[in-house]
Amino acid sequence: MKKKKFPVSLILLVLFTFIFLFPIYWTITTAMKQPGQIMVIPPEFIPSKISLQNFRQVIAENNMGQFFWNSLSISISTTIITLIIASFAGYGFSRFNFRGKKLSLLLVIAVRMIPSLIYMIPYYIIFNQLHLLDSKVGLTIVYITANLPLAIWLSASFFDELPDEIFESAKIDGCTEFQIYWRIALPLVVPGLVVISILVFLASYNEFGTALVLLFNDSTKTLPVGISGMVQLQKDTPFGLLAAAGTIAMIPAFILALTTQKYVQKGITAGAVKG
Amino acid sequence: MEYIKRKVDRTLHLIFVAPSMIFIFFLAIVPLIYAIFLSFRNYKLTMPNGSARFIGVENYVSVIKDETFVQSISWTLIFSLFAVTISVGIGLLLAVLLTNSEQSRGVRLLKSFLILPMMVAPVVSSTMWKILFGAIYGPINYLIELFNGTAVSWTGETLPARLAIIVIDSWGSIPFCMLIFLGALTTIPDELYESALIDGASTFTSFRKITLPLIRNFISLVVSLRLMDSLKVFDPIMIMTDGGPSGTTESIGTMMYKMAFRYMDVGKGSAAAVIFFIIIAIVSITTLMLTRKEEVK
Repeated sequence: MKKKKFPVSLILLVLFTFIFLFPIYWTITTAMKQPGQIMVIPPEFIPSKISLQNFRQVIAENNMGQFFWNSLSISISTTIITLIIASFAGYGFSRFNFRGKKLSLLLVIAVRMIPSLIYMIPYYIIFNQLHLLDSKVGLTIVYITANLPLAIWLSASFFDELPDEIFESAKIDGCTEFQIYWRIALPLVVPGLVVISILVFLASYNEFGTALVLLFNDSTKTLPVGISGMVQLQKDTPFGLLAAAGTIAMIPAFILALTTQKYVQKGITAGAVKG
Repeated sequence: MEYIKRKVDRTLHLIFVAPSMIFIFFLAIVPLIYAIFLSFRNYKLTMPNGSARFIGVENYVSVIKDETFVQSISWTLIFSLFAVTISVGIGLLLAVLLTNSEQSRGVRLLKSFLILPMMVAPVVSSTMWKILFGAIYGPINYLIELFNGTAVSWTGETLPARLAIIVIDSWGSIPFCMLIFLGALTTIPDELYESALIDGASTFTSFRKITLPLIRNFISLVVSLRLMDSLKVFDPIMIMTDGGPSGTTESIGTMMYKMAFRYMDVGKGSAAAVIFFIIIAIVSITTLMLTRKEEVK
């Protein structure tokens, strides 16, 4: 409380928040307007009438419900599988010393530096041959790989923080290595696992480039691909529908942001500093 | 039995580490090598299977001769310069403002609001801004006209289109910078500011003399992370301008995508990808070396 506090910074903050949130506010209100309310000058900053017509139409005619389900199922399965594989690897790297450990860790960091856009072309050709194109499973595999390096790195650092005595006493009690991992180490790093899950979920829920290349049917498309299709298909873009689609797409991320804010903040900082 | 047990113990780490390494090898290393392989072949999506052949560096020559691609490199670099400066600058400002305000419920609420843009998918935020930047009914042009300006065609002219893309990207990445700086600012002990205040230093002086030097490592960290991120810019361009007008907002990423999937030339696209990879590697290694040097100092 001893910090200098002056209302100027508070006023500035409120002002910035206002500007920052305006695009979101505008999207949500546009989604609730009728075409007649959208194409007017001056624009209606506060909608005179509220209707859910755009949401109904975008779900019924533009497959938004399907896209939403695809996005959720792909992101959730990516998160769960990444978590299992990465916590395994993190534990292995943290607990054991073995030949090739340094090299493997170096490989993990190096792969993290490679931008995912570079993989668009090889994935397309390889998946075409493996019949994994236009498949949710194919995209999930890609997302798991893309998220593994950071997830391994973070989970290893979380296991590193556990004191050695825990492992030793468990070993004396006759636990097998797998039991130590599952019953003792894993429960202790749960907060860390939550952090990793949020990062992985957000990254796969928001990803666009690879999904654009690998998915082309409405039955497999994720939300970003579906929305980009709406933007490109219709030259005279119906703003109300686009806004409704965007609003639907924002729901899960906002729920995460507002309920697990502490973890989100921790995750972003850990991801940047520890990586 | 004892022998088997010892053998299991010695290979135990493999059970833990192997699954992840299999993923990384087959889905990260192999495709990367395959991309390099493809860049030396005249592979087109329109050709019958198996008719691609080795053509040396021809793809590279045609990529480098492609004027739009060369222009996309310079625009990507300009874009990164502006997007990184703006997001790091405003992110730092917001972090300082948040730290300086009384830690009340209201301020915490403001902070969670300020984080929201980061959670929005880039495609969605670009769509949102596309609506805001609408030429006729968009609120931004309305405000410009309100202050006696003339309406701007945000997708039809090069400069406004580029500006719009910088704004979209910065909006989504300011919260990231802000969060890292918030963490960085908590590492500075309050006493430093108090004694500076007693010595009669102004807020700005104590920011310049105390805050900045102490969080310098964090600043270079954020700058290098953001730089690598912004070189990959793809989503806002695809949604907002689709590279237009006449290719002036194409980034390296969108060019690579279009070569391979719109013009069906996989070989040329792969050559662009390899060049892209080299540019990113050069930039990351340079920033890494520059920041290391600063740490040594």
